[in-house]
Amino acid sequence: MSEQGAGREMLKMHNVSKCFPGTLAVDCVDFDVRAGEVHALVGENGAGKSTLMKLLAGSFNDYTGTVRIDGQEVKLHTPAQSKAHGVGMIYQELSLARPITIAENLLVGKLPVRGLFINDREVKRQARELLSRVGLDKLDPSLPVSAISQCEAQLVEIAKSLGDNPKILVMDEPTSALSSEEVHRLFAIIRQLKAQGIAVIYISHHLQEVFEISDRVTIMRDGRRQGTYQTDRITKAEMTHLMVGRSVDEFYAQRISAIGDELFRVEGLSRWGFFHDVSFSVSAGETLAVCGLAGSGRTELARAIVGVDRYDEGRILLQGEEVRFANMFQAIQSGVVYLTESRSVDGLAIRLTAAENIMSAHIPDHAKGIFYKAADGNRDVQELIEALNIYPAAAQRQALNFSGGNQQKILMAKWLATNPKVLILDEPTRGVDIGAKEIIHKAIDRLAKQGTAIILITSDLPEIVGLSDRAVILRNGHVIGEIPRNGILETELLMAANGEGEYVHV
Amino acid sequence: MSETNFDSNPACTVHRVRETSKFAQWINRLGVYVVVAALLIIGMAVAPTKFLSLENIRNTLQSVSLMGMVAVGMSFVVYSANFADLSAPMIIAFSGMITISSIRMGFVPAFVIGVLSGTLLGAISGFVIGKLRAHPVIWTMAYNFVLSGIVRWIYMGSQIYPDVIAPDSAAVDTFYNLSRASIPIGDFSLSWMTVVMLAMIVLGQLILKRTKFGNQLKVVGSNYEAARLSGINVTGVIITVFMIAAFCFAVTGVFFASISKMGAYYNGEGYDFRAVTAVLLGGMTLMGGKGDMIGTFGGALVMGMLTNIMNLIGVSTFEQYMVLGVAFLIIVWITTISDRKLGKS
Repeated sequence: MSEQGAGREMLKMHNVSKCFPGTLAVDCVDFDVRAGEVHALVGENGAGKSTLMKLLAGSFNDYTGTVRIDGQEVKLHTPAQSKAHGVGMIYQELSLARPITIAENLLVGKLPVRGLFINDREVKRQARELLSRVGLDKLDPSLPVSAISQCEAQLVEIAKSLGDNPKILVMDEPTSALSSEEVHRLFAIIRQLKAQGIAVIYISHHLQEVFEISDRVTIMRDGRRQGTYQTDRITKAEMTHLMVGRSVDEFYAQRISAIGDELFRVEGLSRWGFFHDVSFSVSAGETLAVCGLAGSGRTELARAIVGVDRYDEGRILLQGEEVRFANMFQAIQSGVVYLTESRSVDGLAIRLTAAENIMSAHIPDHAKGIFYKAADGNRDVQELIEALNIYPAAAQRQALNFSGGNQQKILMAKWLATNPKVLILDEPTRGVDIGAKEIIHKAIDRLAKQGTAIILITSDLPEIVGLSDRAVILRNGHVIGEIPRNGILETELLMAANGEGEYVHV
Repeated sequence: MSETNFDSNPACTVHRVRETSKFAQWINRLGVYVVVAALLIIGMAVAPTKFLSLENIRNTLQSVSLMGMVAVGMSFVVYSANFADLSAPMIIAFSGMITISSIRMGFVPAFVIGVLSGTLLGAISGFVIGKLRAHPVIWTMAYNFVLSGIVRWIYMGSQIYPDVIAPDSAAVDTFYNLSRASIPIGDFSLSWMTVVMLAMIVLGQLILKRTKFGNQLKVVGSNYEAARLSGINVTGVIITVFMIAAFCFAVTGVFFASISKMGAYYNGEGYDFRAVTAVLLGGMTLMGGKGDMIGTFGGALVMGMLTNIMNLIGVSTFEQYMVLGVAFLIIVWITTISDRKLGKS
């Protein structure tokens, strides 16, 4: 361990683990950062990067393993403890309050006072000082945050965390909302912070950025560390391979799909600011993957198709006839259904029973006039519970008392119960264990074999490889290419989502 | 591949989903009827002869009836996770006054007009909350204030009397009789008001449990977004909820005006708060989607019995206010705790 000023080991995590019900999110990971170094952390969604960083931020009090900061062993059981030990976090979503001034945001919780009153001059002086550290010398700190640009807000956010004099700064996807010019400005700031001896941990899906800014890179997969490399000694291809790693062939049996006639077509669909001129078609029995990074407009696209959100231009054809759903009810009646991304927010009614959740989307189908008896759906519910192996098989148990994987199966059952013609799946296996994942995948495959057209939106690349017949690439709201069945490989998908590779046309 | 593979990892036992505690389950299963039983025992202890007399039972049921009707309406609002309809007092007052104003058209038309106009007032709330997504508490509070202004302006802030509006009319007698007539059952007699309340409880229970609307309402109350994304017409459901609630308030208003033989803007005062207390006592929670009308009936009984016992032992009205207020706080506290134990993980 080198002990000179720069390059001193600021953070050393040894053998840390953290588990959630059913999954080991971080599994015996070693991770370290030196002062004045940018250490990138990469991996697919669910690889454990965010959990590892949350652990560092003091979000969990039940992790195992040891964490040393600046050579001293510390406990990070609350966010306050982490902060006190010099860990600064900058999240993807800004934590600034938009209506109040930049200065007040920067100095929140530690506004300088004179007697009972706030010392305005001192507030401005301190705010200016912090802003100058991120190159925003010219910005007036008395402006409200709502008056500045997204990029400036991002930099103000960094300035805010610098106010606590962090030794370690964690940046989680800091560029997701920035243009390429702004990214370069951010990188200049990061280099300055490096020069000031701060240890920076940089999380990103954009591999290009990782190569540009980081000194070392750690690759994670399935909660484990796959390796740590000097960034200049690893190639993009090697990195991609390590991120993707596992052999898919063992997990997914060879699929044989019987693709029928075209069932569903989207032509030139646009919703200003979200997605533009999106066209694709899906046939009966076909699984089409929509491949793109989070924020590429894929969820917005799905919501517009089923009538939850509006769209501005374009048309949707179901079995050759134009349809425009005013709400989800019409979509379901026509057989177009959408399994939402977040089961706890808009998927399940978590306090209702499994049976009530499974039936919730097709109460009208079981109703006799205005009357409806919950027990009438029991047979369907029981069949679905068996088909999807929901454990425990207790229809009358509240959804919140099931594990994450089984909750996801309940959500899947809810949509299977509606007998869809076109099924749009948004992250159907996010945050579930391998066992549940396999069962959900088999259900999707079975449905495709019965002639359902499936649109699969997922960040899980092996899932796309294992399930889909074709993939469209969505980037920044535009379709930039299509990958045929034989071209669907994880490396290719990862490149395509980043706007590169042979199938990208724009 | 078995599901439980991952559970065998010893490091993973920390964050198991906790089963609901015994206490919370117990509170949920027996619910409010434990309190009803306790109050029965207390009542017999403090006034052994009086408490169980037919006279006293009839009085208690009578006083429970009005609040019970309001509570049925309020239950729908609470069940839909819209907290409470605070415009109940003015809808009660307004529909009573409309009925009295139109009493010259005959009793039945006046009754129908009063109830319909009350229900329409609820439809407006439903539209503003369901369609425009106003916050239910803020909106109904403001709405109540506006309605109170309108009613005072129309009637110049004074009471109205049916026998002044239509002297010597048979309709007025029928109107007075509405709250005074009763159905004899052996030695006992049950007032019409109580019958109407019981009918509302039964009907409300049927609507909640056995109709398409009730089952969709349960999903809406439990998770609004999930309901919307399940193809449920959430706007329609919420408008219907506020209309049903206002219908119940309006019927209450007509009975209230009949009891007091007059209409006044202050007729419904305090009913919002007491009805919400009864509903929460009955096992519904402000998070919505939980509880039923049987519980609400229990809650209304508890409120009535509590008042009755306090009257029997000579607690003054002012002191009763304090007791009811404290009871409300305790209920909210207990239900919040048991919600937290049952609800969000």
